[in-house]
Amino acid sequence: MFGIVGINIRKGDLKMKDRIDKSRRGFLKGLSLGIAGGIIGGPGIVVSDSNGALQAAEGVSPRPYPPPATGRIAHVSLDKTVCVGCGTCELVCALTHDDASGPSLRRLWLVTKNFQGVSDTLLCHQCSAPECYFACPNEALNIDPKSKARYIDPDACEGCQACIESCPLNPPRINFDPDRSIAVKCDLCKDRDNGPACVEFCPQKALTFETDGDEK
Amino acid sequence: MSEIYGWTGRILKVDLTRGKTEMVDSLDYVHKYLGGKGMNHRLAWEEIPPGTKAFDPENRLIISVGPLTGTPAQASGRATVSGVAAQSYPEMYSHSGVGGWVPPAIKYAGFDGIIIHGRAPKPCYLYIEENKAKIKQAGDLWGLGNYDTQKKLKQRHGEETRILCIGPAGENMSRIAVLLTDTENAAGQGGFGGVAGSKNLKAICIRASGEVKIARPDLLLKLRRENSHPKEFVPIIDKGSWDYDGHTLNDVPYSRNKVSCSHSCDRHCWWMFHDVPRVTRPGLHSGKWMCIGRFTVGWQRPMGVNWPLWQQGLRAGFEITELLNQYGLNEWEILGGMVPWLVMADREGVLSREDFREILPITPDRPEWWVKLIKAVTYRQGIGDLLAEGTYRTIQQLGTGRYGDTIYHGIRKIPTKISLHAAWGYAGHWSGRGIHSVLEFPDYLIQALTWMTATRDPEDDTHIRAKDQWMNAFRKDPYSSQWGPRIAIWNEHRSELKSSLTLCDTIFPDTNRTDLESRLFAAVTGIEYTEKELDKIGERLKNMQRALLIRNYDRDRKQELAAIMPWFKRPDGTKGIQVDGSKFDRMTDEYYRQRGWQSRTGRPTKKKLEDLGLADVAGELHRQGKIAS
Repeated sequence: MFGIVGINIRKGDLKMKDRIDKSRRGFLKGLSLGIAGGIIGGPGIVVSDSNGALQAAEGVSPRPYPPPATGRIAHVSLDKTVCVGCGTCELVCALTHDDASGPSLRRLWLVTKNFQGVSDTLLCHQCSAPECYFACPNEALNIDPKSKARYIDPDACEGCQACIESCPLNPPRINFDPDRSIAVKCDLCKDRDNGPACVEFCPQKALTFETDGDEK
Repeated sequence: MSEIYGWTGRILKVDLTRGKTEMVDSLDYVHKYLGGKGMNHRLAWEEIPPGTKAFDPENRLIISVGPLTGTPAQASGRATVSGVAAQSYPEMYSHSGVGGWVPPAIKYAGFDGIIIHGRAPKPCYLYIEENKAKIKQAGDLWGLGNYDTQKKLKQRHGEETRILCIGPAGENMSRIAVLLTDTENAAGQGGFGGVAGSKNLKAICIRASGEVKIARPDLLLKLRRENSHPKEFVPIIDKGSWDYDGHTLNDVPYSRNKVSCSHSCDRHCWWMFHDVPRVTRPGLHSGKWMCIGRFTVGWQRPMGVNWPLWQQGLRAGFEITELLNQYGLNEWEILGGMVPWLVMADREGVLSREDFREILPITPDRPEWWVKLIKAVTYRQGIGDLLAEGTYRTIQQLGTGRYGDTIYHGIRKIPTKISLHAAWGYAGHWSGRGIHSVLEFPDYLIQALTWMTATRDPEDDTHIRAKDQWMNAFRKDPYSSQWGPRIAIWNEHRSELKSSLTLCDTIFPDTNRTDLESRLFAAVTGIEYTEKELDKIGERLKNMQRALLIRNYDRDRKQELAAIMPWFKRPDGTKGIQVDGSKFDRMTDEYYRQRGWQSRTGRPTKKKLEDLGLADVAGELHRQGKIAS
C-alpha cells in the first residue's frame, strides 16, 4: 500500500497508465502525473493546464482548488476479510439517495471473488485533488460547504461522464445511472443527520468515516 | 400505469424447443401470490398439467423472486425454484430455495420470475441482460464442472455476471443434481439440476443494472435499524481449533471468518476458510461452509451420541465439498442420506460385491473413496447409475426388505432400526429419527404434521419456529391440545410468506417480532397489510399449493399418512419413543379442523378456497370431483 496525504489508496487501485490513455483532455495528463509524482495540493495551488485545451474549447476558467474533504468512507481494517460480502452498504447507499436499489445507483461497490473467498468494497476517496471536480464541464460536481464532500448536483449533471473518465482510481468510483442519464457519486451522505448510511448499516461494522487524523 | 414498488411487473417466458422468449405481465400474479414460491404455485397450476413428468420437455423450471428481493430488507436475497421435481417420490411439484447473488440479479434485470419449458435441440444457456433474454449455444460448456462453467461465462460476459448452472451430474439427468451459483449456494433439493439437464440448459447468466423502487425508504431503514443485528467489528479468526458437530478439530492451520451467504444479509452464519491448498482445483483458495456441507470433514455424532460415521480431516473435507459443488450434486442427499446409508449397510454386510464393486470397500475416512463415489454417481458408472437416482429410489430398486428398514442396529445408546427410505423421496431432516435425531419427543410431532402435506424433506423451508409459551402449552398435552396443529399451521403460512417475499428461511419468522414480514412488505411495496392479513395470504398460498397437489397427484389424507407414518412408527433416536398412530390420527383431525379442510380426505372445502380468493381453483377441482363440498 502506498498513500498520498489526504488520499487513502490501496495497492492495485491506481492504474495511472489506463487513466492517462483514456483521457480525452490534455490537461488531465498533466494533473494525473502531478498526483503520481506526489505533489500535495492545498488551497491556493493552481492546477496546471499544460495546453489549455479545456479552457480554449469550453471557455471556462480553471476552478479554484477546493479545500480537502473532512473525511472519507474507509475500511476499519486493511484486512479484506472484514467484509462479509452482504452488499448492505450498496443497498442503503442507493436507497438513501434515490429511494430505490440497484447496481446503477450505488456510490460504492461490493466486489466479491467467490472462488478466492474475498469480498471488498471499493470506495470514493474524496481526493484532495479531485480530478472529477476539475473535469466536470457543467459545474455539476461541487463541494459541499459543510463536509467538503465532492458531490454531483443531479439537476446540473448532463451525463457527459467526463468525471467518470477523469477518476484516477481503477475502476472509477463514480457510477452512471442510465435511466436519468446522470453520474452519481459518494457525497458522504451530506444531507443525512446520521451521517453516511453505509457506515451506519454495515452489519459487520467494517466501514468507518475516516478523517486525516485517523488514517492508517 | 402508476409506479410499481418492489416488483418489476414482468415475467420472462422461455421456450427452449422453439428458441423463443416472451414477456408477460406479472402484476395480476404478484398482487395475489406475492412472488417467489407463492407465485410459482399459481404459475404451475396454469402451466403444469397432471401427468407431466420431471424430465418431460413440458415440465416447467420456474425461478421467481419476491417484492423484497434486491432491496435492503434484511436477508432478502433469495429465489424459489419450482417445477415437477425429479427427486420427489413419486415425481411431483416441489421447490427449492436459492440465495447468493442470482436472485437480486433477476430483479435488477427486470423480472419477477422466469418460466422455462421445452427442450433445446442442443446444449444452450440463457443470457439475460436488461429486460432482454437470448438463448445461446453452450456446446463448449457442456461437460464442464460448475466452477469451470462459471469462470468461462464470467470471462465471456464480465466478472459481474451472475450465474446459475449445472455440472455434469445435471447434464446426466441425475435426480440429485443441483442448480448452483458461486461456490456453495444452490437450489439443492428437488433434482432441478437434472431437470435443467433434461432441457439441455447448462446455465442462466444474468447481467443486470436496473433498479427496484421502494415505496417507503425511511420505514425500511427504520426496520433495518431496529431489527438487524449490528455487531462490533469482528476480525478474522486466526487458525487454532474449530468446533462442529459437537466435535473439535485442533490446530487447524487456516484462518477463517464468518460470511453472508446471500445478498442483503444482516447476519453472517457461514464459515469461510482461507488459503486452504487444493488438490483437484489448484486455482481455488477458499470455501464456504454452512449447514450440511461441513460434514464432509467428518460426522462424529450423527444421532446425538458418539457414533462416528467418518472422519477425514479439514483439508480432505474441504476438497470433497468443493467436488460436490463442481460436479453439481446435492450435499444434503449425499451427506445426510447416501453415505450414511452406505456406511450402515456395509456394516451390516448387505452390500453385494457384485452390485457395489465400483465403490467397495466403503471407506469414507479416505478422501480417495469420496472421489470415486462422486465420479461414479455423476457419470452413472456401475452402481453410480442407480445412486444417481437418489438414495430413496436406490433402496426401492434394490428391495426395502434387505436394504431399507433393517439397515442399522449397531452400537448406539438406543439400538433401534432406522431407515433412509423416507417419505417423498428425500433424506430425513430433523424428524427425530436416524441420523436426524436432533429433535426429541414431542417436538417432532409438529414436523410430522408439516411433512404430511409437504413434497420434500420434513422441514423443507419451514424450519419450525415457535414462542416458548406456545411450545410449553404444546408439550403439556402434545397429541390432544390445539397447540401442535396451531404451531404447524402458523409455520406453514410463514414458510409460504418467507419464500415468496423473499426472506431467509433460516432466520424468519422471528418469534420476537412477528409483524416484521408485514412491516417490511409495507415499507417496500407501500401496501399496508396487518400481520393477520399477510398471514391470510400465506394461507392462500398454502391452499393454492394444496389444490395443485390434489389436482395433479390426488394427494389426500390416506396417502399422506401412509407415506409418513412408517418413519414415525420407528422408535426415535433419543428416548426410543414411537408415535402413537391413533393419537396422531386425532391430531391430524384437529389440524384439518383448524385448516378448514375436510377431515376424511384432508382436502380444502369449496368454501375455504372461495374465502381465500381461489374461487376459480375451487371450480376446477369441483369439475374434477376433487373437492370437499
